[in-house]
Amino acid sequence: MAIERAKLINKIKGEVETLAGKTLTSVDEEIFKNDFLDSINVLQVIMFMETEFSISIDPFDLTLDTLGTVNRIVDYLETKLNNNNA
Amino acid sequence: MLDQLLSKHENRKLIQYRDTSMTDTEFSERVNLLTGAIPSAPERFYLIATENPIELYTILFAAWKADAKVIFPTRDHFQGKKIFPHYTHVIQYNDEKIQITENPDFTEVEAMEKIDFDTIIFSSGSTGTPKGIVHVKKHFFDNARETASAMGLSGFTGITMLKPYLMSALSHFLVHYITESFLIFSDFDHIDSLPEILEKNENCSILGSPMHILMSLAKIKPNYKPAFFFTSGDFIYKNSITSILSKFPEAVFFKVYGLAELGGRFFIQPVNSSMAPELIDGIGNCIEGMEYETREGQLYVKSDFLFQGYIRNGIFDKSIQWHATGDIVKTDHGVMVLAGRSDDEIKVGGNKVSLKHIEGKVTEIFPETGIAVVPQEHPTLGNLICLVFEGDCGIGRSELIKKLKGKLENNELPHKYYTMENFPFTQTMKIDRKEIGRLLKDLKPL
Repeated sequence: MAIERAKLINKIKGEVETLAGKTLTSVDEEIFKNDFLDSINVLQVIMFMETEFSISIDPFDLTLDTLGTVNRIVDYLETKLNNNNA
Repeated sequence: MLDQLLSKHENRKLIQYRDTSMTDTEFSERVNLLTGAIPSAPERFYLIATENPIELYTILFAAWKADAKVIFPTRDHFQGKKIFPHYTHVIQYNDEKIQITENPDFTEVEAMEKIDFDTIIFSSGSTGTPKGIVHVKKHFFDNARETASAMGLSGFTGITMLKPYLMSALSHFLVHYITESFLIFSDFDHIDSLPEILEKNENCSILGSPMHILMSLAKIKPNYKPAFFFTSGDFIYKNSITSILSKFPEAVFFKVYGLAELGGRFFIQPVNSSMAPELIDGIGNCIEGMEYETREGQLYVKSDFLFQGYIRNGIFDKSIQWHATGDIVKTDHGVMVLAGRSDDEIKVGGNKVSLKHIEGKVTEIFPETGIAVVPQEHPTLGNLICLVFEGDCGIGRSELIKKLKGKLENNELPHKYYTMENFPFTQTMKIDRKEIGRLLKDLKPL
């Protein structure tokens, strides 16, 4: 069953904000820039995505184009989840 | 010292296991009786096949008195696994009498006949290849005498849930014997009987692994006054100690550094409720007869009390003079403190992190919860840091991460969180982190 985009956004935003200890101004804010999250936190974000949504992330997908903002992470997640359900 | 102890004839309790106890006199009489039944010969090695502490120690003392060579059993032996065939005979009680049988699977250890030894004790056999640690009995007594002297106590009663074939349990027994004290053995799976035992024994001290002590706390009534706690082997963290002493402010907490392969205790740090917090982490004072130095942060020790060498995979390795402990130490507030293991570092994203160091920091947040920090290999991303709680950590994931962020550096923050109903332990009652790591695949992360 597909998860609503709003729920995905809430989950990812919540995890990212918890890891950063700060609040995002928008879901399009770059999360690995401007001292929001450190690059070392990429692994935490990926592990959260893999365990929370039971997906496996291809190392080639690990770019800021897919993980740079909450919105882009959710785009990526929707694609992965749709492919898994297909 | 063996003869000196056995010549004591006093009617005070020395040892108890379940419903059986023995006084000094009864112990000496039993040992003297058994001594004549144990033939001594250079080629004979006796495996003492019992988990009953009274049986094990009476046979041990009798064998020592007869100048016979003995090998202690391991947990694996009692689970029916034959993993160490280097004993010629099995010795055990049968209807109050000693029974000796030949070991049909005996195999020799290379170059063993050249070694001066009388006792072999094993390090943990469940986490890898069992390692037989070769000793002479005099060293056990020397170490126990100096440990007793460093503690400065006598005539006490203590309870331990350690198995009697462990180095630590033998050391406790010898210290109790030397200080005219009374040692009660119980079984960890009978921990529910602890309140009843404490009720019958005033000011009983608790001795064992950190996990034994932590799991005993809930069984001790708030108005009970244990004389002391005594733990060794694994790390116990400052917050756990201060939490225990806040509940039992009149007790002393003996934090002891010893390694089974070293044959006893090395450093003792007595902690009381009025001690300055920055001193609690100190490794303590080196007991008489021991020497130490640090090389590139690692603790090296040397002593005449040390083991003679190891038997591993049927081969004897002679002990070297300075022994690398694998423990990293540093100076903090003017005292030497443990700062992780030389072999517990993993690389995560190019950064080296010490799992023990992270575990220590997390324990400061959850001082009374079983915690293990173990590595997990991701199929494509390399090493991950996993934080595992025994039971429920009591808070949600988001709140947990917030708390951890207050203690840990960014590169120390775990990548996965798990809870496990009960931690597996090694036979020395250390948390079996290897086994936890193996079990992670069956657990659902938080």
